[in-house]
Amino acid sequence: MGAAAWLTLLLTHPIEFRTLLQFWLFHEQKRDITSMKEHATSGWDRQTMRRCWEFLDMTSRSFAAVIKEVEGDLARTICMFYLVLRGLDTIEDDMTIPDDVKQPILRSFHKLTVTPGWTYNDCGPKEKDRQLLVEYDKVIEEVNLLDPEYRSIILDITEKMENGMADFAHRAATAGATYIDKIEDYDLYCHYVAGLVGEGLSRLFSASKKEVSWLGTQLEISNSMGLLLQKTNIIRDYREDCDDKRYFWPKEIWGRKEYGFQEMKDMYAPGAEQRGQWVQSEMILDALRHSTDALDYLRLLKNQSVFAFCAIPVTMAIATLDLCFMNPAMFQRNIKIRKAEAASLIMRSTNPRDVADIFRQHCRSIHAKAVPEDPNFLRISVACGKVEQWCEQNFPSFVRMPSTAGNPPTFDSEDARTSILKKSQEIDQTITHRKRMAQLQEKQVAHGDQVKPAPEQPGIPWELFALFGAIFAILLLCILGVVWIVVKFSDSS
Amino acid sequence: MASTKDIYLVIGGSGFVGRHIVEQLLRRGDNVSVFDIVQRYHDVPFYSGDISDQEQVSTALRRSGTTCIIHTASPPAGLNDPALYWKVNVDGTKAIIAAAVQNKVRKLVFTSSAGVVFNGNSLSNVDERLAPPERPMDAYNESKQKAEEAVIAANGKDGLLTVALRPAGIFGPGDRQVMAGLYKVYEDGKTHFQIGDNNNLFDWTYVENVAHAHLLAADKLDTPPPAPPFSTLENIPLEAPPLTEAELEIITRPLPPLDLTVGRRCIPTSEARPLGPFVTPPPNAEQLVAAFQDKRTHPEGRPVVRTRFDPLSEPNIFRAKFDNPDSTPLQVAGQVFYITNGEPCYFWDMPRLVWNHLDTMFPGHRQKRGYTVLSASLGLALAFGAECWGWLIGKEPALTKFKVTYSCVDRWHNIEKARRVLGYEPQVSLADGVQRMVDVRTGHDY
Repeated sequence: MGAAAWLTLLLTHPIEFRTLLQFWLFHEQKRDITSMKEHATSGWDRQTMRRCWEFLDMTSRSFAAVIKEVEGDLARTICMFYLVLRGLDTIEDDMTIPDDVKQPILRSFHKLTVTPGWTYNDCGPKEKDRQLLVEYDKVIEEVNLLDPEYRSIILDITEKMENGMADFAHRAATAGATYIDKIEDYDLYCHYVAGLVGEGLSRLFSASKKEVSWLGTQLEISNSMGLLLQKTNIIRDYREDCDDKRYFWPKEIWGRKEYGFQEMKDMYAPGAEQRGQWVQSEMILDALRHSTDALDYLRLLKNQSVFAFCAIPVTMAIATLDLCFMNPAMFQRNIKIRKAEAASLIMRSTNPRDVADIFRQHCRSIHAKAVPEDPNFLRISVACGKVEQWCEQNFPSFVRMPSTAGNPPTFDSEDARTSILKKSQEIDQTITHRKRMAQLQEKQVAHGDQVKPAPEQPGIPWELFALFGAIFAILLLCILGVVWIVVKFSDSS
Repeated sequence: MASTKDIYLVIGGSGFVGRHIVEQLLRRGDNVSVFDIVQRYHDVPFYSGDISDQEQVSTALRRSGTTCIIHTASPPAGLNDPALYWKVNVDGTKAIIAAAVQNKVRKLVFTSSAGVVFNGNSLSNVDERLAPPERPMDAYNESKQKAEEAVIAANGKDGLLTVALRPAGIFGPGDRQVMAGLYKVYEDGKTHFQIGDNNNLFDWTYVENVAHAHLLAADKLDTPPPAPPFSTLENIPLEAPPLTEAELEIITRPLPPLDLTVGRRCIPTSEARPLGPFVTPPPNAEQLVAAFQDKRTHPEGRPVVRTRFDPLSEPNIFRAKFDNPDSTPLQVAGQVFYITNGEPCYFWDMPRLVWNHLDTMFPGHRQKRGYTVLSASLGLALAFGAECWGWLIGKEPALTKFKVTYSCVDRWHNIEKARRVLGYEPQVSLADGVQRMVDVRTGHDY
């Protein structure tokens, strides 16, 4: 942003100016992959890896920054995973490659990715990432340098994805099927292109030991993460994709009788605004139902850098869904969340509680825009309610986080749940009290055991009395004796 | 199922919830009779009587040979007649308990209400540990609470097993409260008012789901507890004993998603997915498809992570056992359960949906207009004014402080205990329930 842009922002959106300024001032980079001490894990000292990092910046608009901040060799691994899939995706997307050429390349991509020296120069000139394939030998070299465990995960996912992509590409090319028909197929397509990425990442996280070992087996929530992101992009990119004659929205949704559309492009035609809106809200509802899964997933993460890597795209997605919901502009042009909002999301995506809060806030905003005439009205209300339920179940709002770190949380005395907590504390006190009593009793019993052999302790020291009594008696006798002698002898005298 | 089937007596079987219970019992071929003050249906043996008279209840129990009482009788909420509530709900319930003990009836299922813990303040995700408020909301809820207390206290008395269910926001065809109220607002053309910010969630329960929960409770009432209650042990433990197999099974069993309204969808994974537009099927095609199909009937649970505030966390289960040594929270007998649709939605959405349905039946009745949003405090002030005016001219005010409070607070409950212990899952979605309620209502002549 140039000085003029900053100035305009200050005058037109002062709050956004403030957010961006704060972001620019305080959001320091967590990790510098170019620094000497990081070379061992970032591979920056190798020419080929440095080129791969450049490719990452070139091909990924949103992921490059978050990937680079992940700790240790995981950043490099994810970078390579991303580039391999980007290469695959570029071939899939390229409409200038005929199907009979495309099929074998796609279906063997996992092998090509480890074949030293392989490059691909036949991508159409309009493919923005064609250079990646032209220099793909560098990617291959770096993939072969990865830890074998990481590499086998990446190749396994690549193989699954390439076959799924090839299946869909083949159907589109041969069966003349312009549209995805069923919602089930839409989910499956999203699984191939994004859900599998989620599965792969979970397995990489587990393999790196930075996350629990069973994260890699959590397939459903891993897929949900990918599906939420992919579906958000598919919704937002409606117009762009339509103009390119790529149609991802399932006909089972937009082709419903009550919406009355024959073709997907009819939705942006004048006069279709309201019906288009209902289709849009059903698409957004469909994406929203992955949100609690995404929150479940994020809650399982332990490593801060992995968390940020996963959470930032997800909070961007929910904000984008909110932006799209009931927004007719989405049918006309590509809309994006504002820079300041993105910056604010990045700064707030640091822990599951705050992320859940971001979700709740956007769900409320979505819900506030829903209208009862919308056939999806109640379902949207319930879907948003599920996010609210998730928040209260996992991070109940009656627990107030302390404003300064290190202090214990406080509890909202107005909230009914605080009384449940108080009752629990009372029970604990009773238990502690009983325990102490039991310990005391035990001690007494133990003490009693020790003295048992000794004779019964008398209350009064009788021996002492007897002694004193005896001394007293002897003294008395002596005195009496003396008196008797004195009297006797004085009498006689 | 037990080898000997229960013989049921539904007290209040002519009423809204009671009738649905009778129908569900009949549908599964059970022996059921009804005890009520009025007879509205003639398909089951009917005993007419007053529940506060122990002798009358006792006679019905004897004649019908009842082994399981389902007690749903209560005057409707919102009447200004504390004496009636007390007589029917408290005295009536006590008479029923006495009659049950007298006749050696085994089971008693009582329809309580989620209102017993409501005092006008917000309730979010509250569970069964929450004690009733010191000052109850009104006479209805106070009497329901006292009755529930008596029912729970009677558990174990001469072999009687008791349980109380607390449904929240019951609605459905034939209901005399929710739909009638909403219809009146619609007729009066006052649907454009909104009090509060509508960020507050509210629990609704479709009547058939309530009835379903009653049947489950009756069936599982005599299931032995998954761990011995503390009172049966030699000493009351002071350290949490390890959970038994049966207890672990209850609290870790994966639960299906509550997705009746939003719709069930299986998430494809690399191990369970449909085949899609394949060219050559993958080698494990059959397993993939079978696993995916299996997920429809047996959805995968999510990893259960419990906070220390969760009623089903281990320390809280121990506390509950310690606090009530006669029962454990993971058994049915002697326990209370919240019953809802598990799909709380924002308060004003349900009325708006109903009114929107009515629009399709009475086109042109409403003019499209924006909402007039009043803040909660302004609503309260207006209600105060309306109540004063109502008192002055001697008419029931349209807006009351109670109604304002009611529409501005969160009121939703944690039903995990009912799902895990009773095996309760809502059967009819909120969306379908509203549709059925409106259809029946407008089918009538208005």
